[in-house]
Amino acid sequence: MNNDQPNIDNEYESPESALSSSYIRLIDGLNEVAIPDDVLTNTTGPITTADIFEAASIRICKLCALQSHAFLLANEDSEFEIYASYPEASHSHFNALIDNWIEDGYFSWALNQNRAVVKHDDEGVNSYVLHAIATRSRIIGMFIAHLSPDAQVDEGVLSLLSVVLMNCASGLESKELHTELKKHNENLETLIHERTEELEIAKNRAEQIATEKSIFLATMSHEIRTPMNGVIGMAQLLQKNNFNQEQQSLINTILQSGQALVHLIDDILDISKVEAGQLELDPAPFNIASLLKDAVELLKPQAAIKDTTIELLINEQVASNVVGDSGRIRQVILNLVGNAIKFTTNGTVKITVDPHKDKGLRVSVEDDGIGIRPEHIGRLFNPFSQSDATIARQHGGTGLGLSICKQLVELMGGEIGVDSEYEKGSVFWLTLELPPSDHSIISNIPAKELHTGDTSIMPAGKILIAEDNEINQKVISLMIKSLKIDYDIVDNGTRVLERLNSAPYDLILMDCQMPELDGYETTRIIRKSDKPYQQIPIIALTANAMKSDREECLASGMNDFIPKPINQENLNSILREWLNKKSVATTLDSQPLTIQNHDEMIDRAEILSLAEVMEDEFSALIEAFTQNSALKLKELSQAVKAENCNAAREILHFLKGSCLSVGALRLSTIIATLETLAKQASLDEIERQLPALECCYHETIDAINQLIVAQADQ
Amino acid sequence: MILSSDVKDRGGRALLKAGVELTEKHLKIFKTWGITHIEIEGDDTTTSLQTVINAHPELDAVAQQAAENQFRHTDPDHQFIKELKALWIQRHIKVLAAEI
Amino acid sequence: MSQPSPQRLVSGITQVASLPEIYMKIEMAVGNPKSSSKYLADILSEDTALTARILRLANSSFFSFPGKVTTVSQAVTVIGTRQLRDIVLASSIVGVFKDIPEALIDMKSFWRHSIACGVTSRVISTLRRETNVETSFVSGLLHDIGRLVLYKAKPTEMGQLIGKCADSKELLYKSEKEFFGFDHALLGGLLLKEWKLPTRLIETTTYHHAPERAKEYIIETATVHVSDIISNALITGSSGEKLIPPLSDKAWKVLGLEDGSIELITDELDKQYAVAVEFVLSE
Repeated sequence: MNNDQPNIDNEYESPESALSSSYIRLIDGLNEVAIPDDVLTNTTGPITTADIFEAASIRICKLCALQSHAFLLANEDSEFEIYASYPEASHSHFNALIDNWIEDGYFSWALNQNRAVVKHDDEGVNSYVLHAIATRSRIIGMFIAHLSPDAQVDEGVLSLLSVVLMNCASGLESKELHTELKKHNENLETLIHERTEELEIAKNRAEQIATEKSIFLATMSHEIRTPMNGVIGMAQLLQKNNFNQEQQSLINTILQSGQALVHLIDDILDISKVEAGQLELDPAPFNIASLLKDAVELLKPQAAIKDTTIELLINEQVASNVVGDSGRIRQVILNLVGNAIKFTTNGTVKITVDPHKDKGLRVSVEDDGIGIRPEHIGRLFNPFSQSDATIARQHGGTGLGLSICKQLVELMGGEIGVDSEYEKGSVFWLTLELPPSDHSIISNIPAKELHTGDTSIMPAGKILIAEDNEINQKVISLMIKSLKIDYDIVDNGTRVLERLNSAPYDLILMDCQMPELDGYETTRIIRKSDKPYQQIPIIALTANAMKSDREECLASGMNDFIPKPINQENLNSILREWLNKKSVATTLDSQPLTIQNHDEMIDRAEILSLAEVMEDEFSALIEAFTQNSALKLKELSQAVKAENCNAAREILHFLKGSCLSVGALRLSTIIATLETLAKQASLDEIERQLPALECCYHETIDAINQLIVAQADQ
Repeated sequence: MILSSDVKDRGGRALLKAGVELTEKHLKIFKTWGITHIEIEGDDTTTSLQTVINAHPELDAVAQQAAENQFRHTDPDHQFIKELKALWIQRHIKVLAAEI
Repeated sequence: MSQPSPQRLVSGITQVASLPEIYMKIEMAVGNPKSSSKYLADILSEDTALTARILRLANSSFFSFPGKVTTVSQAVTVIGTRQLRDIVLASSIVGVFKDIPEALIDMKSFWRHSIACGVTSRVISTLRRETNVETSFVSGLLHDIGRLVLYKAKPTEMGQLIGKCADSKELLYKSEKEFFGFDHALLGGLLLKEWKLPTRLIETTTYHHAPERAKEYIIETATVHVSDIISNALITGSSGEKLIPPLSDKAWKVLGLEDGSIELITDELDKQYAVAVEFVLSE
């Protein structure tokens, strides 16, 4: 045997020649394998297993001559099944072969080889190639081919086969991962969708509950106060009669019980509001000293009954005028001092106010009463805690007092606490940070609340009362009667309008809640109307004491309001105030505006604060005002020339409003005067004043601009 | 016959789960994949190694100590080293037991 | 006395030892695309002893071939034509180094460790579904060959180093580097290069203690590196290193083996080890 050359075939081919032809075949084969799959790139939809096998099949057929071939895949049960066979008919032939090979172990052996294996059948006639289809991580299937008799398979071809099948395996694995990912994503999406729906439902439910609670509060507020109004009102009126002592005592009881009940309702509503986060503070400038002094005055009678004196000591360094919700602060002070009085007999209640930290103050209410047991102190500020309830039962009160105080104080950003020694006394203290106020105010308590109702100086007039509740009608009418004022009663807004059109009135007491046409709507109609009663003072009678309701009253054009249950004193002072004014100019804006004569051209403070708040938009506002007013002035001139009174009035009304918005005081005064003239149809007089008006307009614009420039320079 | 532990192919792919009742079909699967050993419920699955270890608990400490020395240049926190060390200790115990 | 260059040490070996002729023949035949398995079988048949060993191997758990392999041609088919080259090299390498003095090192022990490393490398390559696992077998088998060079050329010094490491519990290959300026890995690579063996074998040998330095055959070197550690731990036999060398985490990661695969590897190692020993040491 020749040691140097293999004796193969009858071709005398040198090794070099053999190598080069082999090399060429390999390069060709590699080129085939390296080109991207036509089948895989042309597909428009997702790639299927069939696509992948199709592409592999095409490649393999180019590598060597095959009679038939098939691709097997391992299914979920780890059994191998023919997925595709080429030609189709070879299916059963392969199945038979495979069963044999599995039986004799050849299949598993080929499966675990990492390369192609060539099997000759026993007769040596047929040759088969087997190659596992597998990635690094797992076996996916098996490739089987029946070689053509003339097929030339050498190591190179088999290696290329490995490359094709490895790609095939990768493709299948990718596709599987892709499908799993898609399924996973879909699951995730479904899950998210469900969760979102659940959350949505939960959220809606929560909102619904919150709304129901709010409505409940508002309704309760109204529904309970209305009859309470009746009871208290009646009792107050009865008090005025000359009854014997026993009868007086009964009436007093009714009154006290009624008032206690209203007080309780107020407390409950307060607690609910704070808990629902709906309690809004109403900060405004007020004077601490005045507040405390008034509170002391109010409680002096109670203290006197208990033979107890109240002392008030305010440290000089405490700022007098501060900003805060005076109503709520008073509520807390009254509660604490009231408690102190309840617990003290024949003693002293000392109220001291000292500065606290930087901007705050500390109020201590000290009594030398019976004190609190240590085991009760912890729960003292909890609603309905036993100690508070005990107090309530023994000394009166709702049992909610201290917890409301705590909530209010904390809402205002302060702290509240107590130091107490049983049988020695207690010190209730609270700290608040109240920023000082720039305005100097003499008294923070609205004048109405202090008046004791002196009917002798009640102005005369005719009142129209709009109230749908019979009992309330009775109460109010009795109260008004006692003032010897003339009145009419109607029970809804439509009637109000009818009455106004038929007779002159000086004031309307308007219930907000009425059937058909309610108080707000009626007021709006009145204000929009072009009738002489357009500006009639309208006082709201409202059972709803929430800030938002008051705002709605003012927004609809009402001038003031009286809360229900109606208090005679309140009523008196309101009537005294508004019956005097008769026709008061109001706008449809949220604030009742009073026109005063100003010496200044412009409201410097107002303008500067506007500029600060509006920032960039302020200059646009001034610009708009400038342009607009100029336009309106032209229109006014035209209207006057055309002798159109109504148009002139409208323009002047509009101008007045915008002047007031930008703090153009003098201009607004002049316009107000002209407006009155217009109402009186004195167009000639207006015409004479036009030059002055225009002059003032220009001066005003200059003044505003100068102010802004001066401010910017600082 | 019930399979007592999972059957995996050479690459670690799970072919059959433990607890399955074996049928003809399963036997064919074993042949297809070249599985030669399976564990059936009822077989005493305690390996001889396990028996040795159970019989000589004191050797464990000795082997642990020897392992510390043998593996002193390796990273004890590496997962693979941990596994290798555990295996080493098992075999060392067997060796020590044989010497007794 | 200055240390000799590694090149000189290697030359000392190649002057007296060379790869067996049968290997050279097979290598040339395998390289010829026109060779058929029959032709290769013919070459092998010239060495009856080798034929017998190869038949035994083809029938062993090394290949788990269903059915009996009775002819050399069949054996060639089972083993694979390209793979045959490596198998033949593995079968004849021991003969190349038969003159190493026994006193210094237990040659059986040396070869046992080398064979274990070879089998483990083969198992890992199979797990990773690589095409030619026999090359991994040979890579593992040859990885510590440089030590034999040192034992042959520098017996005294090596004896001292081994003693020193036994006391200080240091790693021998590091002591070699300290003492000679190079270690057995470098020497082995040089030797294989001299013998014109494939680059793959040269790299795996040179960098088996520093697998991150491998340039082309990163995975293959990582395989041998990890296999060295495994066989060091689990199979009795040593090339001189008494302690387990540190594992390169990078090499471990590049192989991508899952946690717990040590069990699979060990199972297969146990199955094939005896067969491999019998084949390589022809006993």
